[in-house]
Amino acid sequence: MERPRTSMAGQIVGRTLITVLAGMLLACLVHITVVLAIPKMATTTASVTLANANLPKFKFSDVSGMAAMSDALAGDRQFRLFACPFDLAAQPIAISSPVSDVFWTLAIFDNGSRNTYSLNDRLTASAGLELVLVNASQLARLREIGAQELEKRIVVELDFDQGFALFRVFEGGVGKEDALQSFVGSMQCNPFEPDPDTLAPEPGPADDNRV
Amino acid sequence: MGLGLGGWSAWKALEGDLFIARNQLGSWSAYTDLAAPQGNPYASAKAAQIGGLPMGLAEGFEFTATTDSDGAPLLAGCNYMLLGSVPQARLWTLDAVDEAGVSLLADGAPQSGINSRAIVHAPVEEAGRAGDGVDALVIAVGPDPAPGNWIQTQSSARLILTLRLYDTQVGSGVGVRDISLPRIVGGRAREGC
Repeated sequence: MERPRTSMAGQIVGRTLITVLAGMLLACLVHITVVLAIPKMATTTASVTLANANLPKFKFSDVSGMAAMSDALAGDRQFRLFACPFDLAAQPIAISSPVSDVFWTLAIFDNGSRNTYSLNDRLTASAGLELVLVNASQLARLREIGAQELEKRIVVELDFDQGFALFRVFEGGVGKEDALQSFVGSMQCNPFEPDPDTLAPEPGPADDNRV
Repeated sequence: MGLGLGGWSAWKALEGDLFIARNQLGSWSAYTDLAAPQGNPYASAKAAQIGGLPMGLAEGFEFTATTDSDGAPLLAGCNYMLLGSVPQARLWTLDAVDEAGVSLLADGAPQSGINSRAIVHAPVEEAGRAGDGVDALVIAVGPDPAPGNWIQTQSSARLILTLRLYDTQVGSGVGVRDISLPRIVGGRAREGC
């Protein structure tokens, strides 16, 4: 008569144990899902704000004054922010800016607020900034056709296609307003097409086809 | 139960900066891997939660302070003095905001905080224990006017001071623990402080 009672108690303990374990397993799964989902679900981030702002392509737009950018999202309020959205699926992007007295930094973000590449004006102090953003296949193609212009530029290979380039330009400094205006007016974000004159000559068979 | 526990633990982990590199140096704290979380899902989630445009290491490094050197919360309605030195950087800025990032500078304050290109350097003795004394700094923060460097705040909200170093080796070449940041001590007494 004892035996069934013991096995019943065992069953209850077993079931409780399984329930607790299942609960813990579920908790772990939910924990992992929540942590992984937050970056994709976040709707109040600066990158989402910029992505939804329909900023013009191939141009740095002043985004420091955007409503959602004027608080914590914008970061340092002593800097002005200029963003240029890009999509490398269409073509590589060339970014340039002149030599200037103003302090600036440039960062390349993906649409999930990940700052994947950054530099400051010291790197380009003597010659101005000439940079090109490419994905892996574009880089391979440009190397294949021998675009010599790449040698003069900072080539940044990205593992994503859509994102934005962000200039942070320091506003402070006495008497720098003219320098700032001139710098801001000269920053560029254009489709990158290698100049045909700088391409390496086609190999032999191509010459035969020319008439 | 599993759903609740999972959600709660995820929220707690982010709230408590679990698994996220965060350095505390006196009153100041800094996240070191939010800009490029590099496969750390907790850092990615935290970055999305903050929602800003984090600086890359080549851009600069950001410290925030929410307490004075005694550990008491900073309040925009109270007077403080920042004493000491700022690590080597080509440029630094100091700003006063509330917990939502909204400015706590008084209306009509001439600029958004102060920066290294528009400050008055103090005699070393005045800045107290300022390390090598080269960048000895005295900055007053609060509603009451002060001579020298003064960030004029208003409101009674909790105050967050943000110190941003630009083009600095802090965080890359120089470890965050090897630097010295200004102490934040109480300034001229005010009611309720």
